[in-house]
Amino acid sequence: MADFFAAFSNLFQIWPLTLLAIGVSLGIVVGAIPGLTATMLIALTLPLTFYMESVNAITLLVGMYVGGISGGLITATLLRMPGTPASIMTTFDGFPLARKGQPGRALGVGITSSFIGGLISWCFLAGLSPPLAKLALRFGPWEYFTMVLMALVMLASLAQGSMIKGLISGCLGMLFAMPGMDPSLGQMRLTFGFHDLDAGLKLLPVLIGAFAISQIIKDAVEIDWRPKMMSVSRRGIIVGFQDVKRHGINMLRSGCIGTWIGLLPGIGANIAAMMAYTTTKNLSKEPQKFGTGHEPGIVSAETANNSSIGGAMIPLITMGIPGSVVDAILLGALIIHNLQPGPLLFTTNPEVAYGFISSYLIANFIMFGLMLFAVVHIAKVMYIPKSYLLSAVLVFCVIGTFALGNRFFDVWVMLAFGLIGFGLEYCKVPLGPFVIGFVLSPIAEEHLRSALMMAEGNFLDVFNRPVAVVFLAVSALSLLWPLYQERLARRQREALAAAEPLCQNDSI
Amino acid sequence: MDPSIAKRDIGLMLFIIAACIAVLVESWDLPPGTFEPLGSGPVPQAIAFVIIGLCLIILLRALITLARHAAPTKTEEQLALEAEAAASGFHARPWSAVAVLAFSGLYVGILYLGLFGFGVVTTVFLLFIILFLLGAAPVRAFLSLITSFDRAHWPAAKPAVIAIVISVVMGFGCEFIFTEVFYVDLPTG
Repeated sequence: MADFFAAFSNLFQIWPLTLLAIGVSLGIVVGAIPGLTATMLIALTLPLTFYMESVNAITLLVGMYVGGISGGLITATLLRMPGTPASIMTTFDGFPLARKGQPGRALGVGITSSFIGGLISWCFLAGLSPPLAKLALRFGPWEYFTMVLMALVMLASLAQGSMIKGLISGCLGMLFAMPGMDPSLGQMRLTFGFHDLDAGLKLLPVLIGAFAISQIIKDAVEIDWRPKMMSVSRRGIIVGFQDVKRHGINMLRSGCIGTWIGLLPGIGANIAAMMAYTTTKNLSKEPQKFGTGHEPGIVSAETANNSSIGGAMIPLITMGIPGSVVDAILLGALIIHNLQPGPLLFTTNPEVAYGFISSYLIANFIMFGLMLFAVVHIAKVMYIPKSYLLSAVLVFCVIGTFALGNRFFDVWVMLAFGLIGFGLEYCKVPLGPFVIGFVLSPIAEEHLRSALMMAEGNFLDVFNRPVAVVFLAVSALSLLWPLYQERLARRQREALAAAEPLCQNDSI
Repeated sequence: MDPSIAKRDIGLMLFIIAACIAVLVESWDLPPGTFEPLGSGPVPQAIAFVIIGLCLIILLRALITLARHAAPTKTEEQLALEAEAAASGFHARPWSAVAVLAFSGLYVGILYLGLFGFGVVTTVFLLFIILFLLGAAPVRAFLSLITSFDRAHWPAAKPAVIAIVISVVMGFGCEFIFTEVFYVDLPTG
């Protein structure tokens, strides 16, 4: 408890609080610009944090995370264009409500829901993280290996689009993490004769390439797209207590769904918002109103996407398993700052572990204040021509990657991964599993080899560890569940197709 | 599956399979572990085999799709998007992506060769790329403005002037901040 309060008191000093405010503001601005995402911003900021204390770096990045996810609601509401993928569901009701002449109300409902979603998941983050970290300390190599396996399989199977493509993406990420010196034996592998590859591919060039450069390439294709201006007033932006009470159950339910989805390794805020929105619609007495500017739709989507942030941080700080792509970057930030992510973080660096928790709470308050009072001005940034923005981002990508080790090799790697990322997305292969596979595969390999050393090469030893067996079973279920669903859907389609001629005959 | 995606899938999967074969060849001669049972080779090999297996499934599906559908069909969503784009007068510029990549490669190449300092190269690069992305109209208007001194050209030329200001400020500003504040050894030329 003393560490918890120490982290809070540290946050209320001028420098950390300023960093948090900068992080949230930048996150909101970037989230509000279609085409720029929180992932891109955090990946680009990471090199700048080399010169900061680890706690301050985490504070800045957490602020950006919260701001980035929240800022997406501005464009989702005013342009029907999600600033971040997390805001896709917000477009369904936010935009129609804004078009009905209530943009202030639509934004106000979204902002308040985001704030409450953040508070709900903070309760889970603060309450669950310390005991979970203690539990994770009992895990051995088999448990860790199977947990990483579960994370990758769940990520691939629950990612949007084809499960097989998700798996390919995850495995490709794992393969790209292999070149360089094998950490167990000191043996060089997969360097193809390039000595620059002896140290392996670094995380930052891969991340910046896959997320920032590929996005710039994609945006360059659509450079002529101009958003239609919509006048925004602050009328109705302050949501009263009665409104919060009216949407209370929806907020609580969506907050819990968001936190739970966030907790599952590798699944991001967009899936959380989708599940919460669908659940609210299914439970509603007026499902037909969803999609026409119905407030519960905005409430469920925004509460869930923001609450997923706190949920996703739980596996990150307790077990070192990223709950989403942004968390994979935060994991990289910990490694770059010479911190060991995982359960020991609470023991070895409590100021960092509790720094995550405290900065997440304060970031939500800052986000709420900034969005309520400055959203009208922030909304104007989405009209800045992308020609200026993309070019500036490109230069920052080059500087950030070069600063990593003053090597041009890293910059070439970044450009190559930009091309790879663009190619994969062009072929509808999700990038999330790729990055998480890249981050997690060294952990998985290390634990697999330790486990096999302990078991003298016997793979079947995994079945002597009940927790590992549970993780394996969940992995198998995650693989089979989409196949079962696909089969079910096919049967329904066939049944409908068979019923159609009968109906036509009846009508004749 | 959309036949156009099937075609893209075939190309990508063949490329990935070739890359995995290269990985298998490169890792085949790695010695087995001496102090531990696995060694350095089996993990990348296993991953490469899994990827090849998964790619073959996608390849098979794509081939079946292409055999079933002769002409590509557009989904309702695609048709709606195309209608919206046509209504707004927006046209995608696929070649912009290629040009951005080529410019970026050239920029990094010149920095790598150390022909000029970071500030100069970045300023020129930014100016080129911003003007390219803005299109020809602002550049033409800017040239007219400086040759004729006619104020009527100012609104159309304004983006080009902003591009010049941004390029200079960012080019030399970044050089100053990153070398003097963050102590990054940017190329000096």
